[in-house]
Amino acid sequence: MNSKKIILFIAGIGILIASIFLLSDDMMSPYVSLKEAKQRAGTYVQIIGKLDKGTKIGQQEKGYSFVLKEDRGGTMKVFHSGTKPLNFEHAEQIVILGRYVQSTEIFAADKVLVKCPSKYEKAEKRT
Amino acid sequence: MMIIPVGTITIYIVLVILVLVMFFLTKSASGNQFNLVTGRQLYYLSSAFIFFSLILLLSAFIFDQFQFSYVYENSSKDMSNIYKIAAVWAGKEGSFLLWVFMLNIFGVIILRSNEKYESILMMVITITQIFLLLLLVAESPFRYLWETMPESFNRVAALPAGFDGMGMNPLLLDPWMVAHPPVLFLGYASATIPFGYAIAALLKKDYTSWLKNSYRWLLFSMSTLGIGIFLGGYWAYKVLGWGGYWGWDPVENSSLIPWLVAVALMHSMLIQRRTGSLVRSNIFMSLFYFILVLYSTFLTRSGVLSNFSVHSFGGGGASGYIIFFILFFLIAGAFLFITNFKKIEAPGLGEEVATWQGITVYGVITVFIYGMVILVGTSMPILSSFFTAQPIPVTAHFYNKISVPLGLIIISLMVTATMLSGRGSLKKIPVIIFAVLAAVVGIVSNIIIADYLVPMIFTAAGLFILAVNIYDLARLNAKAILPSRLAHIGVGVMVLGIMTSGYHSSTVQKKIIQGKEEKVGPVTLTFTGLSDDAKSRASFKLGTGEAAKNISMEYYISKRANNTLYREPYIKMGIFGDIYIIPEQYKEGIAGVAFARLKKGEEVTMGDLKVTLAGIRSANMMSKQPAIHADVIINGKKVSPGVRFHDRHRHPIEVLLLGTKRKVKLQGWDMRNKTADLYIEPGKKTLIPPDTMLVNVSEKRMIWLVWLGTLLIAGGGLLAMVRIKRSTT
Repeated sequence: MNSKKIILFIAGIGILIASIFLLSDDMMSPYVSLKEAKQRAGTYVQIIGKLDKGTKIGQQEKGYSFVLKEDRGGTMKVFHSGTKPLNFEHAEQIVILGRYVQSTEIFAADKVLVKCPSKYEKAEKRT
Repeated sequence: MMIIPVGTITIYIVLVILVLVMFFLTKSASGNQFNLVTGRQLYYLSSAFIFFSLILLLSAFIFDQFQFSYVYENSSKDMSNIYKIAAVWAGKEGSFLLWVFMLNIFGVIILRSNEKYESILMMVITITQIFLLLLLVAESPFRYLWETMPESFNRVAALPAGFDGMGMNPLLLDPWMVAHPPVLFLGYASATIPFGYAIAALLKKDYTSWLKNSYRWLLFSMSTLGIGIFLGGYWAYKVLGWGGYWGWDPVENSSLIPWLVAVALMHSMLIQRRTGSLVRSNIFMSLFYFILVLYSTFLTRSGVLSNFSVHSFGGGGASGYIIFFILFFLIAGAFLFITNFKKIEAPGLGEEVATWQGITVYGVITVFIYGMVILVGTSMPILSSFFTAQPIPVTAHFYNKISVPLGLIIISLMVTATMLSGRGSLKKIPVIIFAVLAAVVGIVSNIIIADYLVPMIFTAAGLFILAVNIYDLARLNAKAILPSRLAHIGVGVMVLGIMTSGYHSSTVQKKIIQGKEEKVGPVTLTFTGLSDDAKSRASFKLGTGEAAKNISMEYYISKRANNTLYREPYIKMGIFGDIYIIPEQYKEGIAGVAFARLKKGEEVTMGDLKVTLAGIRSANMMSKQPAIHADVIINGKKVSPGVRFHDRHRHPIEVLLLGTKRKVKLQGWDMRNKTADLYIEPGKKTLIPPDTMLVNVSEKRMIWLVWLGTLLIAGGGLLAMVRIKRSTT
């Protein structure tokens, strides 16, 4: 077998994967702060925060909106076109993935995850 | 005095016996028959003890022996026997015991099959068992409650009468979950054996005769691992209500990665069987396959990725052991491989690319790279944690986008290799007809959807695989090529299923009122109510008129699953698609008029009342009976419901709504945000809106093709294995 051809083939696939990686921006989801998410509007990011219990959760036809609060004090309006995760209102922490849209000043989430307090309590007890 | 449970003692005994087995096997390496026979006898003794410990654990579950922590955490009295048996492998400790048991049986099979490399294989098998047993010694399934939870349980005091276990997580209480882990572990446990053969080849410097039997074990391992993954996917679809069968979750990926390497290895072993070449690749991948299985165990059992997965993990106590374990095999394998690398001789494959073996090599490389890309993606949180404080996971988009080009390359190579396979080459005309037909069907069937390019290409590719392989089966000696064609047809069917279910499915979400017949997407649905027992069920009438069918699915808050809502989808299966109904959110009509969370100063309407929260305050803080009061203005009149604390108990201070017998209660509060949760009993004239259920109805287009495809792939693998078995004996 011609090893040159094989190396070329592997290099070709490597370039293919690298170019897919470079051409899309939603492959990684780095954790950022609210401030950073706003600065990097349009970039796919991941944010950990809390539900701002002082404001209401808006139910809409295509999804729901809420305000995410950070420990440092910042807040941001979030819209998620999907169903609310279970125990959303009681979640200790909320993780959102998506992009901040500059024009509407709303974070468009394509994924919302909740971290429930009980899970952490149990984990702490065990260690 | 410390009482050690019989089960733990049994595990110690097995450990000691296996260390002795290792001793005699090592001494027998010089050809001493006495040592070999002693090693064998001792090994059988270890089998008896492992079997005994498994029976002990099984009986502990069946007879509700909740003094064992593992039984307490995974079982309860009300569970049926079949689930009590399944609870043996519901957790980490029991599943490692099952793994040891399976691997031990494989060892017995090797002992009884007159195997050329018996002593080396048995050494590798024995060492692996010793490592797994060390994990079991560290975290024994036979630990008592007062050892694992000394703060809650007292050793001296007997457990109270009627003491019950925590029960199994409701998600695991499913027939598919009974079968999924044992089948997966068959694949994991048998991965040791191709590794052992590769070590034997390197030690004996005989690079050809290891292959035949190793290939057979690999087929077994690949097929069982594949079926195990499939069972997990099917269970996720049927029980979890995610609506899908695959989510690129670390736990799913960690089994898929070794499986892809096994598929690559199987094809490359096939080339060695036919041409004698690719020896180095085969030895390398045989070693690597087992290492990946161990790495997979590390990912899923150590909890390193628990923040990046929907699955829950056990504690991280075992991760140090497992890393040591991986390093041991990695270093031993790498050392032998590198020192022998130059000495391995094998004929080349020839310069020509356009042959069956030429194209298959490229296929093997691509499948392997695909596995490695998924490996890097899954490990990204770990890899990135070396560089940044906050680990970076990859998204599902990553896997989906990478799968498109790599999948297409793999399919193209697969079909080309089949056409070049040399058993009477295909005529050009039928191939062109197939290609044109597949392309037409692919385009026509997907033209209506918005994102049409990927499904068009893959539908055509899937159909083309089917056509070429079925044509091949029809015109050639079907018996000889059946396993490979069956598996390849399975790939085609699965690709079609992924396209139909992924691109032609629809989801509708609607809030429906109890008792009212409503059209939700493709079905007519009437919500008939929620039952009142502990494991409540949501009931619906599916369809309309005479043909209507009463259906119900579980919908309750599970204490076992951290007080989360547990609900099960209802699936109406059909040839053209499954109708998938999830009860999303139940809302009691009374909740809207009787309960409210108010912020200070906020005014809401609760039925016939206008309610404002004037403030929230504490009272008598210095006394023995401090209290919290909410000052609420209801239709202009102030009331102050509250809660009084006395003797560490809460006593509600209820007040009556002025001039009525309607109670007002304070149910919860948040001093910092100044919010209060209020309950106001509805009056006789209060209009209570009907109860509603938010439902999610999806139509999953021809998802059964995915199941059929995976079964065909596994069937092809098992058939190939059975065939080889017959030809050797």
